Amino acid sequence: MEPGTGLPVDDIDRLIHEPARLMIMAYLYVVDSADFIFLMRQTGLTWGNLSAHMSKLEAAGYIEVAKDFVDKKPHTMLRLTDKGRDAFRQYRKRMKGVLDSLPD
Amino acid sequence: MPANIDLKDIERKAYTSFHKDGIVDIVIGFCAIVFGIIFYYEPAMYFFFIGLFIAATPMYILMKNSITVPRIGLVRFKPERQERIRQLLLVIVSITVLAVILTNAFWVMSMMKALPRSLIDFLDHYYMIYFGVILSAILVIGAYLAELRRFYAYGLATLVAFTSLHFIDVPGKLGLGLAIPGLVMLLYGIVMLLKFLRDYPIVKGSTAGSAGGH
Repeated sequence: MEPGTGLPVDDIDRLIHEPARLMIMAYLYVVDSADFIFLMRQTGLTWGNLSAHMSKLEAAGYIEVAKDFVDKKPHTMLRLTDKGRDAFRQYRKRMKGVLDSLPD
Repeated sequence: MPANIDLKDIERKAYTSFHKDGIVDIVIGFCAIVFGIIFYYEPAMYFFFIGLFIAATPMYILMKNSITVPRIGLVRFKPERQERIRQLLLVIVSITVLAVILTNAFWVMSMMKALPRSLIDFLDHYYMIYFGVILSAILVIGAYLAELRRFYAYGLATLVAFTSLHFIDVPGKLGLGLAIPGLVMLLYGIVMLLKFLRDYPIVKGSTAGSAGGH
């Protein structure tokens, strides 16, 4: 419980909780993998902004870089790791718990 | 912060955004027009459609890789989505093969006079409705499985074109029936593509091979 709030917000993963990173995680959760441009277009983030958030998620072990081939050329793809998928599932569950615990 | 993140909606948006370039409309519309022209001038060459559809696949992939991917990026969908596409292809191939077999069987049997005269006359009279319903069904099933709503409209346009031509006395009805909805798809696809090119310029500082900029 966070002091004074009475809500179990300490359990919330603050790395995912940031809106831009939450969007990135949500998009990568629903697809198998996507490249940098696709995530930039879908989230509406700038190249630099997205890059900074991706670095944080990669450092946490939530995303991984994979190589794919387009026209026989290597193409950098990004996907959630098992740890990232699990963290996102936990985040959703806990957020739901926090919001459900609020009085009407 | 959203209480319930609608993941299905996010997945659907990701999927439809990858198809708002109009390329699938252009390729199918182009094939329908070429097929319609072949039918108009030389109906006996109908088997050319197999070659046409085989040629359409690399054309589609080439356009996607050269136009769409540098602008909107590349995404690989989950196996469930890919399964729907496999189902779609299976349904289209099955209906097409069944229609070709039934049409040829009817043709051969009518030549051998193995069918009742009334049935031959009925099918001979309503063949435009027959083909219209088959093609519309393919487009509607395609719209459902591919979750591309505009293909419901194409299905309706196809049914309307074939049904209207049934009542109009013009030569080469079958060819026209294919070319008219094909033209609708091609033109709408071009409009979508132009809008797509305007809305999604190539991302500066990025290349297809080095999309991961972080």
